[in-house]
Amino acid sequence: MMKKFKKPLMIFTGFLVALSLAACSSSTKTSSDGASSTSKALDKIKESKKFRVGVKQDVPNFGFKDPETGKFSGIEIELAQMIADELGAKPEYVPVTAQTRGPLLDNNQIDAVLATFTITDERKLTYNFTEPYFTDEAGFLVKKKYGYESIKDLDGKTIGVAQSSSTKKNLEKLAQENGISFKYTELSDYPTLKLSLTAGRIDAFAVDKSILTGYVDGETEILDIGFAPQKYGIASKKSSTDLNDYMNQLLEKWKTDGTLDKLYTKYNLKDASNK
Amino acid sequence: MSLSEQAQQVFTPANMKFLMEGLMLTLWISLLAIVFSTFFGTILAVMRNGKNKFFKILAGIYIEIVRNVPNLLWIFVIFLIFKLKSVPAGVTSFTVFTSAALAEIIRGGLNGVPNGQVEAGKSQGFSDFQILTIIVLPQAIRKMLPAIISQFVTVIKDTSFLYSTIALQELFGSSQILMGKYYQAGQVFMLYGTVALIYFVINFVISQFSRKLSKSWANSLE
Repeated sequence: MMKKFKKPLMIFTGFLVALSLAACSSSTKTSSDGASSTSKALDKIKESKKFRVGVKQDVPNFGFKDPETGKFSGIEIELAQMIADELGAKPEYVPVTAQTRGPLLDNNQIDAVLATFTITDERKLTYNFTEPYFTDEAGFLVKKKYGYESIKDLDGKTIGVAQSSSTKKNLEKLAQENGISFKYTELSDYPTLKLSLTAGRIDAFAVDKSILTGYVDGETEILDIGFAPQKYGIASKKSSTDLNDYMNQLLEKWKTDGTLDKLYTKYNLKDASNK
Repeated sequence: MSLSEQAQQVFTPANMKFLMEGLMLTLWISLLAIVFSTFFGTILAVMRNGKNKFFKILAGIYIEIVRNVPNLLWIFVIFLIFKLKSVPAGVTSFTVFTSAALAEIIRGGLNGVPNGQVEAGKSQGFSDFQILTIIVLPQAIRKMLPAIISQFVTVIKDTSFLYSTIALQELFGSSQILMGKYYQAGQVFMLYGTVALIYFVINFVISQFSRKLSKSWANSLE
């Protein structure tokens, strides 16, 4: 019975044609975008007066969407605001996940990423990274009542780590150096890890110290042991060298004039870059 | 900290407002996705049901490819290829896979309309387009509506993928963000419990409605 339903089919075909035309036109647009960003990412931000930054929305003290105000807060948000101010632009925060922050940069949907992005040699091949604006080291959160003090006390204990994080690999190295061994429990997120510690399913919760500080309460403490320093940098597209240089200059300035130190104090963070 | 103190911290007006905003976004995305999907699903069903080979194959390819690839992949693909902001990307990706699912439901509904109805229309001098829109579709829709409404439940639940994939802050995402601040065992259970309850109440009401509708219409069609 269908052969004669030409009208709806024609309408749908028309829609398909329109869609493909739209796709074509948008792809030509993006290619020209790409061309301009290769030359001058900095000018583009100044012209549009918009600095689009990929940020985290669920990491307190770094990038966090505060439920009280509905606004973003944290050291990364303040840095983005400061950079935007210097450029005479307005920051536009785009929430990202670990999976989307890279592709969004590649796609020209954001100008930079300020989202606890650790600088690694491998990532440097794909993106521009500024000098670190914060260096964090990993540590252990344990229950006070067990009285752990040194790394030796943790011999044979079960350590909770986040899935697919580098913490486990670093812990293995640490164990080897100290001639001890750990057992591991890998869980999906930090709240669950904290819960497991409270419930006694793990003996210690290991992750970057700045994250651990968010989880200390009356019953728990962070051990005075640090390992595996991680450097957080601002990432931008490989072609946006001018933007990267500019941000590096700013960070350098803020490091020397104490602005960064003030931010660390404000968010209760301890920079581990001097260790 | 006692449980009531923990509850006091979690159930503040600001936090509840935050969750409600997430809920509104969940419902808005689901509503748009289901409306668009019903539209495109109908077109796909008519195409796949038809005699025109080209459109039949085209619709068949679309439906099979979309249905047999996990939804999470579609969300990523659409977010990254079409370069949409997260809300339009969420609506688009849900429209893409829900329209394929609905196309099959609708096709079933169309096939369920007795051929005599088409013949009756022809005998009255209706055009084919009129037969489809005035006679067949309205009857088919009555049969399918309960199934379409059930699909709505699936869409509402599945929008919770959007937070971990593309950082879209819907209801589940809002609870995850709050979890960054409240991590006491009791508080985590309270937050998850609240969110689960919200999903349950909404979806239970919808499924009950769909069940009631299908019952009353089944009777009226007899």
